[in-house]
Amino acid sequence: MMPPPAIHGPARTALAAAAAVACVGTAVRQLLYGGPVFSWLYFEADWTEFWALRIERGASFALLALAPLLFWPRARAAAALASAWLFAVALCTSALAARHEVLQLPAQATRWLAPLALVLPLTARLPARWLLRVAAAAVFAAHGVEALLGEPLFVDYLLGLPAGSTLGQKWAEALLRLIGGVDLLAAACILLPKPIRLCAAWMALWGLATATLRVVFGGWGAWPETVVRLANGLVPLALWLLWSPRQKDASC
Amino acid sequence: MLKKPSLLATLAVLAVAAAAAALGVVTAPKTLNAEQPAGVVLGEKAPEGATPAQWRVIWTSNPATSATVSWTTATRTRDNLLLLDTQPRGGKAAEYAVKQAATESYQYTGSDELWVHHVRLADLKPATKYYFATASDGRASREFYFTTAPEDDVPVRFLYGGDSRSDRDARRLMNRRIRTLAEEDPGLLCFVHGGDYVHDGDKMDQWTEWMTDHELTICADGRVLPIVPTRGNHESGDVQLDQVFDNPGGKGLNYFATRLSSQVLLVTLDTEISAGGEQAEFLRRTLKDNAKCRWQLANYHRPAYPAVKEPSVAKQHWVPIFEEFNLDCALESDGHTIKRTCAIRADKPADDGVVYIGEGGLGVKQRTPENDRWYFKDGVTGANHHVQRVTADKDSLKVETILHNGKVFDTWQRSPRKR
Repeated sequence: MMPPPAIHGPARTALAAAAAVACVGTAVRQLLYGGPVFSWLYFEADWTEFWALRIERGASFALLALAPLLFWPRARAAAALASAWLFAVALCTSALAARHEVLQLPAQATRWLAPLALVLPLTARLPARWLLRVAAAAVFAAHGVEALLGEPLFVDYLLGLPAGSTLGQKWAEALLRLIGGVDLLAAACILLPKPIRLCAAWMALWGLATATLRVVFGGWGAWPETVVRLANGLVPLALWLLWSPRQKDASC
Repeated sequence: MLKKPSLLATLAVLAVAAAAAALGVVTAPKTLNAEQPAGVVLGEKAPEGATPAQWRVIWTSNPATSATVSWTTATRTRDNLLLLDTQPRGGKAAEYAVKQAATESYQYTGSDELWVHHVRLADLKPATKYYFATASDGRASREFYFTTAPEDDVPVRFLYGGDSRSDRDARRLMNRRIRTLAEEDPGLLCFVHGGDYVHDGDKMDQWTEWMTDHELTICADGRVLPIVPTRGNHESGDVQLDQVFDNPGGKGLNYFATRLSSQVLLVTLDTEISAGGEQAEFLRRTLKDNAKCRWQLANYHRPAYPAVKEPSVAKQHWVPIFEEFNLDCALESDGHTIKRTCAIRADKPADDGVVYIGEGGLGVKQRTPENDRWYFKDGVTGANHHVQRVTADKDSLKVETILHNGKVFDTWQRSPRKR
């Protein structure tokens, strides 16, 4: 008989939602625009366009099929498969990145670690929680460093906000550095031995807000960009739920 | 195994190369008369010692009166001179009217041996042929020439293309095509490169290959097509692009406006830095200041209306400005396909909209375009190595997509707007 999962209750639902949106967002992006795995196979590994495209499209449909299964605690194989593909996506993004290559794998950590946490059994309760902490910390640390380095895309998001034009580039860059600092602080706090629930709440809110920014900036057509990033808020939300005082094991 | 004819051809090429090397590069530390003969093989050899190589003429803001001439040596050289005249001097140093020392000479970042030399020229005469040779520590190149842009309202033709980054054979094929197009058309003004020159923009071994291959665009009579550089995502944040092209537009801020004639404006933008803010302000100001200019074009790397990928931030920050000031055509790269959209305004087809053409085929594997996107309904897509030829005169703006074999794949034309 299969042992119960390491994370259960509302936290598991939040985690399954994080993994599911990562699957759906990634699949839709791949189908609409082509993804990094296709680019890597075609341009770097010299596969034919036919096979590179077929592999990625096949994986996209598989991800769409896997997404609802992730809410079912027994479908651990589905979670493992999703995690493997999402890891491959992060790896290829890193291999193709023209700048900040080393930040790509941690920047997508919630996407490929959330389904992995669903795979772990109850006996691995503690590692599962630390996996979520590391995933949230990695995402915030990577984005924090990018912000401190003045990532142009982030500057453009700030300038593209309704009040962005009055902000001006210099102030947008200064604000971005401040945001980067806060991100790094949050990344450090979530890794402290004693759980800080407020930190998880902040990370959940900020993760969901920055994901939503993609639609605010790019219009409704950019919804896959938002969906794929919802995991950045849902993983800290799972931690916040796990650390609820009502939970018997809220101490790690 | 090599077959006999190809073996003979290889031996012939080697013999020619050896003869060229023997004749073309003569060490003459005390004189500058040791020029490379006109028949020297270009695009075949990496730089050696102090012998000048990898020439390029760079245009940014005022191509009627200014340009940068750049070259590479494979060792540090003390005396780096540009010999310049409006008359051909056959490389005889003493006869050139102008001998200008390099404005800057320094080692390329990431290279142990390659040095770049830039000579910035100002106060040139418009629409004038300038003959030049380059000399480093007494070793002089053969004579080349370029023509400055006109200042008056005359027809203008130039080439546009992007993405020459990872298929070297295709890149060399396309460079030869560019040379053929230039040799067939003495009026061809310049070559606008839309970015992604090399795969890894911080690797000088790739850049030096690109620069050697760029020699293939030089015509047999020594004519050099000035290059208008653009930063692509494969050069994102890399100092080497600024070093190869003498900080086009400014160090790390590669956006500028080029008047190719009194009635043709080309605005080059940088998709690798913030598109909003100061760059968007620059775009708005430039288009406003040139509102009466008959033809207005923009050039940048990552597309607003892509044939394969997702739209870049250009769509949010620049497209509204293009539409406000009635830009005629935007030249885009990055997708590794051929594309021409319908005229677009407010994200819908509109006869008075902006047409987006590209999207990168100078030496990179081509992708199958997503031709079911709405903006290709009255447009064109394809997948083949290509370069675009833009012709702007009083009556029309014409963009032809020319394949590697010289065939014209697509022609698009529009009449002047009321401005």
